[in-house]
Amino acid sequence: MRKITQFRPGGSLVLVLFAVYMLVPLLATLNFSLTLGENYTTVAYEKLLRNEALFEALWHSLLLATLTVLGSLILTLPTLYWVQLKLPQAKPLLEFFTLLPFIVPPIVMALGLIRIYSSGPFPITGTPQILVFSYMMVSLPFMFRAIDNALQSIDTHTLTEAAQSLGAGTFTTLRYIIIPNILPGIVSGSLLVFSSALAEFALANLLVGSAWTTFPVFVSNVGRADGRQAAALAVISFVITWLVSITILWSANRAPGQNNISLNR
Amino acid sequence: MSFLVLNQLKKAFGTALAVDNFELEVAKGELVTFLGPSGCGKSTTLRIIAGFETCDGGQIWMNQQEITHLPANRRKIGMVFQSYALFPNMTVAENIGFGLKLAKEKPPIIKKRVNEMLSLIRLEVLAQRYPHQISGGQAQRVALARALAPQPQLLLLDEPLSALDALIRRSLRAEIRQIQQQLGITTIFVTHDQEEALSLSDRIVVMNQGRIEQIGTPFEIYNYPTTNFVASFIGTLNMLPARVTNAAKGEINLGGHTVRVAGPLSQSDNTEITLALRPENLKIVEVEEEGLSATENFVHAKVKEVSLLGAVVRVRLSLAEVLLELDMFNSRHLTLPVPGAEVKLSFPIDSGLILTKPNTTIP
Repeated sequence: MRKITQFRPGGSLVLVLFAVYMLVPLLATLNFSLTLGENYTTVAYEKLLRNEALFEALWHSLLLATLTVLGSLILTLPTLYWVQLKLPQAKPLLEFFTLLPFIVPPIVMALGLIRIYSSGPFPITGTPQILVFSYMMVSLPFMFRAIDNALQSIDTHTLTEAAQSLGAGTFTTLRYIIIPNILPGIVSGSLLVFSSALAEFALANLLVGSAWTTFPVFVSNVGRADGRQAAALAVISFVITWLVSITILWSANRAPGQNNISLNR
Repeated sequence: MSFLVLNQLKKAFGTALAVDNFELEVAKGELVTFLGPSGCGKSTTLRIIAGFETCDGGQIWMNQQEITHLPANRRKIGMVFQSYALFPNMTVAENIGFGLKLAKEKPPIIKKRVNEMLSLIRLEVLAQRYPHQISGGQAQRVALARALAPQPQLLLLDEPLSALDALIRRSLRAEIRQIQQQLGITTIFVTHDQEEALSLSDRIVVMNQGRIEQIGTPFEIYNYPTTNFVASFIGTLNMLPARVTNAAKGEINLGGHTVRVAGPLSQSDNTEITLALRPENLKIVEVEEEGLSATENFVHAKVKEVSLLGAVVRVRLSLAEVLLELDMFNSRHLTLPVPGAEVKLSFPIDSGLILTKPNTTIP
C-alpha cells in the first residue's frame, strides 16, 4: 500500500503538462473575452446577452444535439444488441460502416447529401431534419464504440437468457436488464455524440446555413465581426457542454447498483 | 404419463451433429442428470428444452402439451446458469422477485414469496446486497431462488456448481437436492462431474457425441454399465490387456495368470480383449491360494507406489507388464504396502467387465 501513496515526480509532471495543455487555450480565450486593451471588461458578454439571435441559435443546437443523441441511441442500441445476440458475423460489416464518417470529409458528405436530398422523395435540404440525420451518421462511431464496449463488458447472452427464462420478452429484457447494465456506455456515448453535435460547423453551414442558424454557425458569423464576442461565445459553449456532461453523469450515478460511472469505464 | 417427454430430438451445428435422436421420459418430481464429457451435447439438449436453441427435428412435451416451438419466455421453465447470471443492477431481493414482477404479481405477494425464497436458501440477511457484494456460492443460491420463485414447471441447471470451489460445491450439491425434494420440482441437471451426477440424481443419462449411451439409476450406471464408454467414463477403471483362453469356461490369460470372468464369453479363443476392473474390487490378500477359486481370482503383483487420498489409499501395482490401481479403505490399523514388495491380489470373478472396441455395447 505504501507504493500507491508514494509521491511520484514523473507521474505528477505528466499530469501538470496535461493540465497545462488542456487549460492554457481555454484560459487564454477567457482572458481575451474579458479584456479590452489593458482593462478587464464584460462588455462582450453584455452585448451577447442582449442579442436574441444567440438564444435562438443556442436553442437550435441544444435541440439538434438532443435529437441526434436520441436518434443515435434508438438506431444503435437495438441493432448492436441484436447483432451481439443473434448475428455476430455481421459485426465486421457494422464496424466498416461506422468508419465511413471518418473516411469521407464533411464537405464531400455535405455535397453528396445536398445532391440526394434536394429533390426526390425526401427534399429535406435546408431543413433541421437533414442536420439530425447527418449528425447521426457522423457521430455513429462514438455511439457504436461506447455501446459495443459496454455490451461486451457484460455477459449479454446469459443475462438475456436468464431474463427470458423468467418470462421476459426482448423489450422487457432491454428495458430492465440490458440498458441499466450498460448505462455507463450509453452515458459516455451520449456525451460524445451530444458534444460533437453541439460543436459541428461544416455540415450545419453547408446544408442549412442561415436558414436555421445553429450555435457554431452563429459563433462563426459573430467572429467575423467581433473576435472578442466570439471568444466569449466559446467560453459560454464550454460552460454549457460542461454543465450538460455533469448533469448526465450525476443522473447516471444515481442509478441503482451502478458504482463510479465515469467516462473512462 | 411422463411429465416431460423428449421425442427424437435432433440438432446439428453445420455438419457436426450435436444431438442425435435424443429420447427421454422424465417423471414428475424426478431429478435427471445429463452426464458426459464436454461437447457431448448435454448442454445443447438442455438449451433446446429451455427454448434457447431450436431443434432440427423431434418434439418436446411438457405436462401433456407440446412446447417444441414455444418461445423460451413462455415455457415456465426455470434455469440456473454456470455463471450465475444474476442481474448486476438489482439487489438479491429484486433478482428473486423479477420473475414474479414480470408475471404481474401484486407487490405484497412478491414480497412474501421473495421472503419465502430467501429463507429457503437461508440468505435473509443478504436481501439488500447487490450481486457483486456476495460470494459465488451465495450467488448461485440466489440464482436458484430466482429460478424457483415464479414456481416453474421444470427446473434446469446447467453445470451450476462448476465455477465453485470443492467444499462449497459439495455443500451446495446437497442443498440443491434437498430443496428439489422439498419442493418436488421436476429437475434436469447437466454436469461433466460424475461424482456430482452419482450423488444427487434419481436417474443419469450418460451422453457421448450427441447420443445417449445409457440411462439408469446411479447404482445401475456405476455397477452395470452397458457400453464401453459408460464403463470407462464413470469411476476409475483399470484397463488390462488380456487374451481369451477358454471362452466356454470364461477363462482368460492376464499377465501370465489364468483368471476367470463370470459366464461363458462370446469372443472366440485367442481373441485379444480388455479386462476392466474397478480399483475398489481389487484386494491385497495374505492367503496362500493360487489361481482360481469358486468366486475369486488370485494373481501376483508388485507394489510400485502408495498414495494416501484421505479415506482411500491408492496403490499402484504392476502385474507382469501391466500397470493397475487398487483402492483400500484407510484406517489407523492399516499396514501400508511397501513399494517394491510382492503381493497377492484377489478380485471376484464377476467384478470384471470384458471390453472389446470402444463405443460398443457390452455383451
